[in-house]
Amino acid sequence: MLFEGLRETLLIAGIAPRHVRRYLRELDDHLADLTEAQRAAGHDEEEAALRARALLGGDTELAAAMLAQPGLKSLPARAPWLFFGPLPVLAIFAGFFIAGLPLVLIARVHGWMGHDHMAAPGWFQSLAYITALFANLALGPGLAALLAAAAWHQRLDWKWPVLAIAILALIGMHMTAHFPPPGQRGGEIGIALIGEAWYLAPHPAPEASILLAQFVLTLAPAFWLLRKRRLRSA
Amino acid sequence: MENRGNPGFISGIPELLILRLLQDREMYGYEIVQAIARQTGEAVSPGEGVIYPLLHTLEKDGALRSRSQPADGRTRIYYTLTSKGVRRLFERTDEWHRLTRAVGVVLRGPSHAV
Repeated sequence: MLFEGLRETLLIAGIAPRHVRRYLRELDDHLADLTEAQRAAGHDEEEAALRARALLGGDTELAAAMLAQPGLKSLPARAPWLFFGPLPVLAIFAGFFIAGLPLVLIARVHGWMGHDHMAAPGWFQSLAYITALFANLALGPGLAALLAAAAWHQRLDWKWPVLAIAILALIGMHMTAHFPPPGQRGGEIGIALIGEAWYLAPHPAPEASILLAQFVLTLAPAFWLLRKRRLRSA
Repeated sequence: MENRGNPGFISGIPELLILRLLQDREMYGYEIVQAIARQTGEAVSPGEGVIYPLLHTLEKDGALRSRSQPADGRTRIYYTLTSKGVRRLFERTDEWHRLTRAVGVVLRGPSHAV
């Protein structure tokens, strides 16, 4: 494929994928215009294509022009310590907060906070149960998948995303949104961001299986990334 | 304190020309390269493909705005000057005149120096 080598060079150098995509698209169009001009100047198809490609510039020259603009590098390439460090941690806390906020507001307005969850109507119990399940099983793994995908698309060093995903998995082991299934006794309406270390408890906590699933699902994108990388280098 | 350095004296020429050309009308990359070569009598002819990174940077800085438009079975990306770009053009033009005057004094020799 035309410009495939250039694409890889730019991505490995840290240029943001959106700039790489657009650059290649513009080069493609430019090449078509140059070819047309060469044909109009009387060259046959093959000669026109060769001349146009030579006029456009070699891959090294085209890459150097892009690399001379450091502002076009992506944030993960410029500051991986930030993108794969504090940002995912803040994002997971923000995700839990945003997912739980509407429930907390509804419960406060109706005076259900701190009471047995059976005091709330069925619809609220269902909504809270689904939200808790979503927060536990989708937020951490989803964020981990985004980090792995970003690292893969931008050809970033694997160590940063794998470290970030490991941190997310560890946080996830201590962080759970808990709400009993509708109609089941034993719950209370409240909010706690950091739970106990369930794996140290003498008896498995009811949410232990969910936490274990969350842990495995969060780590899965890291294995996917390492496998893709191995396949690529093979 | 005003920065009196001008490290981009030569490398700033394509930027100045792009901003000036786009002041008149919106253009796409190929048109810009051809216009620069034609209007400068090919004294300045940037590499055909290397103009785009500069266009991207100018857009990122807010000096240009782009839009896609289908044409001849392709989608061309047209660039337009923004108000920030107009200010940048005036600054670069002033800088250019100041520098060429200064260089001109040196080239005319010591007897003409003020």
